[in-house]
Amino acid sequence: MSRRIVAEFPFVERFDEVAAGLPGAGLDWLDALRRDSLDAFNRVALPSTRVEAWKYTNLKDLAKTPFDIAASPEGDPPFDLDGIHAGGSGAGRRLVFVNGRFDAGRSRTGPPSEGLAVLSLGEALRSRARIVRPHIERLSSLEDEALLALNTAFMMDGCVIVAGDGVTIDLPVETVFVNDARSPTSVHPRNLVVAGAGSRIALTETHVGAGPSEYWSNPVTEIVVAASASVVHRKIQRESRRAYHLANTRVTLAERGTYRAFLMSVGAGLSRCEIDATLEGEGADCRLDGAYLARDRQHTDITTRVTHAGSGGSSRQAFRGVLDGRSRGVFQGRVSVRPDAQRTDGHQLNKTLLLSNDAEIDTKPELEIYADDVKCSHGATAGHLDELELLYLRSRGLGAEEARRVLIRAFVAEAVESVEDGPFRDRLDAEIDDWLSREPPADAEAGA
Amino acid sequence: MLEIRDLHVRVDEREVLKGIDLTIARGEVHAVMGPNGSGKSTLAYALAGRDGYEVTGGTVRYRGADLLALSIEERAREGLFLAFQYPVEIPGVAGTTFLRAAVNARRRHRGERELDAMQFVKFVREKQAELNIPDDMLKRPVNVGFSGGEKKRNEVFQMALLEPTFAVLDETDSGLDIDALKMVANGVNALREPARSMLVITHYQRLLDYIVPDRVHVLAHGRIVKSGGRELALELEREGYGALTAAEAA
Amino acid sequence: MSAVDAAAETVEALGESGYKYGFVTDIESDTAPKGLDEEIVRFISAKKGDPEWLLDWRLKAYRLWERQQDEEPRWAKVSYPPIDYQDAYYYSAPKSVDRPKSLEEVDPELLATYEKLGIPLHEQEMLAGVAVDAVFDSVSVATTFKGELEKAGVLFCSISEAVEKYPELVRRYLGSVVPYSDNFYATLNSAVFTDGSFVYVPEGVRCPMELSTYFRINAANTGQFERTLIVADKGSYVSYLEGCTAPMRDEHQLHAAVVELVALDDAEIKYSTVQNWYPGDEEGRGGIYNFVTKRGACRGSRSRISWTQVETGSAITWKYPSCILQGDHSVGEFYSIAITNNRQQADTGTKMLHVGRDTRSTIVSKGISAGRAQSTYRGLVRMQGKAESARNFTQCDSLLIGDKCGAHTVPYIEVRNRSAKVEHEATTSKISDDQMDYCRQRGMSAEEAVALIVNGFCKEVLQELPMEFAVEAQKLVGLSLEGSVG
Repeated sequence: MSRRIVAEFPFVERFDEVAAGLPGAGLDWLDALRRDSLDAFNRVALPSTRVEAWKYTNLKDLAKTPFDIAASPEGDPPFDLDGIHAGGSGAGRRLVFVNGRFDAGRSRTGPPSEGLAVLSLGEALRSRARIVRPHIERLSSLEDEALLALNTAFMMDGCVIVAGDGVTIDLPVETVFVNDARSPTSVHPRNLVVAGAGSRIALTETHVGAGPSEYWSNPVTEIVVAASASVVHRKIQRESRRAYHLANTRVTLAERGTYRAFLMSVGAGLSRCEIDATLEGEGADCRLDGAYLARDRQHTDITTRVTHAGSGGSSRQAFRGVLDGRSRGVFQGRVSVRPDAQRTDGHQLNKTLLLSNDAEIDTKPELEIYADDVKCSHGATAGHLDELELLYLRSRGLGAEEARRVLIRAFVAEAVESVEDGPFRDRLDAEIDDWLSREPPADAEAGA
Repeated sequence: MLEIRDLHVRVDEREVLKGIDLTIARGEVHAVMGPNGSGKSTLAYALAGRDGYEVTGGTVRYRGADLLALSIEERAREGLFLAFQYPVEIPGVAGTTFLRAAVNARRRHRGERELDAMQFVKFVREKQAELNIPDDMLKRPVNVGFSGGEKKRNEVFQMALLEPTFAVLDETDSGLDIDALKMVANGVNALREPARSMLVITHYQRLLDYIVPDRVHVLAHGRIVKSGGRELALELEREGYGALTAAEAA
Repeated sequence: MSAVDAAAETVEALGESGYKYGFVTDIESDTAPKGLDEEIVRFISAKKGDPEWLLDWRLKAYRLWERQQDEEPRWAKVSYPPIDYQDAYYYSAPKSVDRPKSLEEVDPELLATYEKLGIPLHEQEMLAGVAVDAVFDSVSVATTFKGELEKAGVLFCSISEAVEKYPELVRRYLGSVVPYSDNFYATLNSAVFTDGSFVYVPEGVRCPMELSTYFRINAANTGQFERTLIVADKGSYVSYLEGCTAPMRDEHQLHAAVVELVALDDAEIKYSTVQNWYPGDEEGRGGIYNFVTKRGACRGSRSRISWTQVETGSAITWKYPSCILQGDHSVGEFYSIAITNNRQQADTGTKMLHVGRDTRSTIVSKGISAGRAQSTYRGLVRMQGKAESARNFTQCDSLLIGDKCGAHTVPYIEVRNRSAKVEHEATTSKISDDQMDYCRQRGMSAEEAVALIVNGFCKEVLQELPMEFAVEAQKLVGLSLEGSVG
């Protein structure tokens, strides 16, 4: 078996034609970059499960699907944002993207504000190419990352936030990615967040699916945290069950920069959210938390890589998952400490609840340490609901099913607790309740 | 026994001791008192020879030799003992294993035969009773899961086993209730003898009710600002450090 | 003098610095030509007087290995130049030894070698009640205590002798846990294995003494490919100790052993290793490549297999003693200390495959890296679909000494049964300055302090070793870390 899966996607074959309609077409540097990235993708191809980082997530079905590029929706798509749990009802800035295109009508970019730019990538390439270009070029130089290369080659609209030194955004910027697929199509959103020294930014990302067809979302988000800046980044992945969601988030932190992320993964048939954070500066601080809920034949993969390159950094990770039906969860978390990153503090915890005997969790927490003055740890557990706890709740009069839900709820709630933003936490709670309400009764499953 | 002249010590780029003069004769017990941050523990660590306590000036002569030229373990083998303010936990290492290694290091240094396991047990038994150290405490890993009182008793017990010539007790009273304090003080008093000197570092005069010193020194802002007999400790108890240290700062 | 003290004193007496077992014994060897091809496999087989089926098995393995030339495992976190498998000898036997009938027939020079290693056969025979099977280069030299074991019905002999005397047992179990196609090194071993130990403990028998093997690689350019097979029949118990050393040589030497354990209903096997192969010098010249496959099958209900290893030697260690927990209520354990110093590399851990219901496993791994060494724990815990109520607990701790070394932890946890429960914890830290100062203030040197603290760190594993080994292992911990602190 080869380390690579060779796929023949129609949109890749039609590169010249497709690229002409993408944001920034006609910019020489970008045209050249897209072409180089296409070559890189064709050279490395999609990873097979022989590649260690993809051991547990198989892209062979994706590779067999004849994906084309997503087209602009015709007319006004028949959905309203609230109806599809897209959030975005807050008062802050909101950027909505439908099938990879910026939807100005549903967006509120807010009044211009000094030292702050919140705009779509297409607009940024027109008016602020000087700021955007070096970041896009830097990320694209990463070899061997097929999905990153593919995103760069077919980069579509996304959200760009550039905050000047010391700028604070009070309300989170909300970004919503709606996929209304009528035939097998792919989208490649590209987001960029640049937080200047001492700035404070929060953004939320929601991915939803509306159409009847299978589709493939391949978003890339680059986040640059300058000295003493703070970025809070929250994401809800609730793509349609027919979706492939393969997301890449790349974060770099300068000295004393902080990055807080929360990821909730409930949607898609197959999803993988990769978060790669490098603590370059001294005293940087990174916290990644999240929850994954899956059932039926869903496959949900969370892969994190936290690299401590500067000294005195700290990182914390806590992810919790609940798996039912024939679903499969994957959690891979690597903490690396480079030779000079002394006084590093790195901790990670992954807990998974298995509700069904056909569900599976594959966990691979990893420590890679090349400095001696460190305190690093990881922990992982997997198991079923505690029988004693169930019994206790039932002895207090709760029905079996209710007791079960209470305990599942409590298990996930511990992951959500770290979220400080009230309205967002309410959305997470609603997601969990929604998920639980669709849970088949316990005895129906036992009979199966 | 110990002669400190104009000792300057720097910790983390900051000068903490700014010229200490102190002479302790054979068999004497001196107390050093002072408010938090005055440099008491720095004095203890500098005498013990810990890394990070950089002597930038002055001399320390111990039994006629240059103490500062010796490494931390050489000082220990020459009979200098430090009872730590915060005794360190060493997981997995049984108390007896630790103590035997320490006792034998000293015996080797003195050219004596090392004690084997059986001889050591016999040697320990004698001292154990005096300080009410149960067997269990020696089987458990060093200081792991010990209460504050147990840790301090264990320090004095180690002192009894190692029979130092000069002992520094760094806030050995901190965190002890009155019964534990008495037990520790009795242990220390039992070790007072003409050939052994001690430096007792404390914040409160309470300990000095039980371990009665020959001399008392007040440390403030890295200098000894006043010395006297044990009545100085009582005076401090009444007046507080405020008056003394303010006068010095002015 | 007791055996314990003898072992301790021998270790202690071996001088001040460097590897303590680096002498070469001058014994005439009977050696096959360099390189490996089908003829060499046939040569080895003929030398051993293999029956037809065994020769066929070897040839199947060899042909598979030949086809796999490009598939030498590369996933471990170790690096070394490509091994030229044609530049080694695959058979080397001390010439004077043509299957000795008793200790008296053994070359006195050889016995002296073992004495130097701290394994005086006579003494152990008399004092410790340890039965020793010694493998020198590739051939089993002497098996002590045979008489007494025979009385209990325990079969303990070299595997060559077992092939001759108990062919049906060997044929039934050889390759049943580690098939010849298992992995690159196991395949190589299956083709060219020359000797090793065989143990069979019959139903209901508690083996009356610890069984022991000492391995030694003496000849230059020699690979060692021993094969050990231990079968514990229903309700039996055996404890088996294995120790290893090799002389100092500038070139690397390959050691690719296979150990297979089979425990039937209610049987228990305890397998302990103190591995102190020559680790190479401070610059990484020479040393053993220890690429070993060890696996136990808990076939029967309530059976139990326990691996305890202290790995201080070898230039590179690649080793994952594993348990297949097939029998319901069976138990697997893995206790490991891996110490690497200078340029040593170790990638070691275990696999616990839970197949049966109510199976249990415990993993305790202590890794210590010093100098420029790299140490990796790599382990798999898999709960299969039928492993109802299975349990695993894993604790992996790494300790770093100095800022040029690395410590890595790569666990794989795969759970396919909801009633199974897996708990995994891992930590990495250094020896604290406070601990060092505390010990030194009590008069210990920095090296003594490190040895003491590291022994404490390893305690949970050391206490799993039989007494004879525990003392030796504690000393080794200190010796292995010499020179690691300034």
